[in-house]
Amino acid sequence: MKIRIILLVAFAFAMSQTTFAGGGWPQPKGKGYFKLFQWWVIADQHFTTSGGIDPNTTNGIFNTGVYGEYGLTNRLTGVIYAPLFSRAYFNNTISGTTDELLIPGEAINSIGDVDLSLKYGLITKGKIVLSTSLKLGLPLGNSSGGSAGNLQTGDGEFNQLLQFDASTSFKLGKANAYSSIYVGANNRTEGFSDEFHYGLEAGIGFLENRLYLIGRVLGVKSFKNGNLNTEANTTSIFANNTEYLSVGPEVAYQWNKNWGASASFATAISGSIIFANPSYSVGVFYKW
Amino acid sequence: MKNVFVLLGLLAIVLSGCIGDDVIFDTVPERVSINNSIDSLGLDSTFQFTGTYFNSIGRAIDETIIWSTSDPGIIEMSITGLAKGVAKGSANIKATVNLEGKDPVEEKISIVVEEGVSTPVEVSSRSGMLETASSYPLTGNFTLTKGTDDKLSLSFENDYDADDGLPGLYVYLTNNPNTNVGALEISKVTIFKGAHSYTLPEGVGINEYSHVLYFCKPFGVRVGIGEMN
Repeated sequence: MKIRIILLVAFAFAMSQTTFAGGGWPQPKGKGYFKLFQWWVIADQHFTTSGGIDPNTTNGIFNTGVYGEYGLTNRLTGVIYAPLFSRAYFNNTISGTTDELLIPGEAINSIGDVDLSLKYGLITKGKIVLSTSLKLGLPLGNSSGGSAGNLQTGDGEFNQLLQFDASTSFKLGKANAYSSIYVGANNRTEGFSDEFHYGLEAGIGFLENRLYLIGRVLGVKSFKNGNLNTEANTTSIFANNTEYLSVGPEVAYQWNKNWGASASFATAISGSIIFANPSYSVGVFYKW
Repeated sequence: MKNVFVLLGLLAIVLSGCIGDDVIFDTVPERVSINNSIDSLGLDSTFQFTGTYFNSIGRAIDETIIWSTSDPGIIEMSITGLAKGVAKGSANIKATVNLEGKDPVEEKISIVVEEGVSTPVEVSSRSGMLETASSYPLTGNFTLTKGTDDKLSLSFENDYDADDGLPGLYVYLTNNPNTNVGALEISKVTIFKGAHSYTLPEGVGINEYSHVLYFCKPFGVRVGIGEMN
């Protein structure tokens, strides 16, 4: 029973944003899951360096891709996050005075930046499990698209994130529940500042663990040891020196042994040089 | 079957990422600018005035300018802007653009008619103060100066302070401080504190623009403005 609970919790993690990627639980050997996801944000405002919110030309980013985990051993899990189709655009700017088109909108389509990770279970038994992972961010997206070079489907830099995840499962009344925390250090290249990543997540299962409700807090702090922002021509999720603290719920439902779906959104409650509109994600998965 | 519906839903979301329209408030007061002002007009001499009309988005438009005088006994004025001093004294001349369904747009200057040659108004500098138009700090006094070679330079004083955390910040001269469309791009901003200056391209007139504009290109948003006196 306990193993089943842990697997379900791990599944629920996997349904969530890839940042958590299953929390502290590695996949058992030969087990895994595959998820087709759609993530998007449409933003007409952003957090400024002083923490205020200013308007901006509406930008949209849509990522359609796959996320997978596979247990190479009982302790070692391979993880891939691959936005196979990434679309970025900004809106037309229309004069409110003359109705004329002042700046035509543009869009680019490409593959996005791909993350490859290896997660190793340091403590896999007991009340609290602990894992470490190394994620390599491959800059396969377009970092300077559009006529002005300010449309991106990637940040153009190779980064390495070393992360530690600790998780625990417990009972909340009759329901199975879990919580997890993580911290990570992201080494970025090409003049981008390094980052400290942190997060907290908790979830509770209903309907015999077919339905999971999850709450999540994620944060990124920049060490601001890279180039000034002005040397770049990028905005928001691909910009340099961005910071944010986001919160968001997720609901994940499994309708049979193998198949399920999830939906979530997240919104930054504070930040710097980051979009101030919510992001959304939906996905369908297959696990075995 | 459920899986198919979910996949179709995902496809619908992909296709919804289409370019829309952002409407910006970019109205500025229409105005007429007299390009070649003079302080005094020589008695019995003539002077041809020229002017430029700027529409409600600050764009120079070829509209008919009608010229007139407040006292034809001192200055005779043709409708096309040719003035003649006919008696000593002072009079106003006016440049007017009549717009359909709107109040006329006017610019007036006062001119003295006296013995001698006409004296052009020599504007050698204009100044102003930057103010933020956003949540990003931006302050500083500036001066637009015409050099001996007729080239303009835009100089910021020691009190200049801008935010270095903003990507893609540019400085412009413009007649519409709401947008960078139609503005003269001077430079990408690389200096964020203290005195510095930019040399402008040849052919830019000192009265050609009304404002200094700081604009963030990637976010498509104005950061600050400074009106020139």
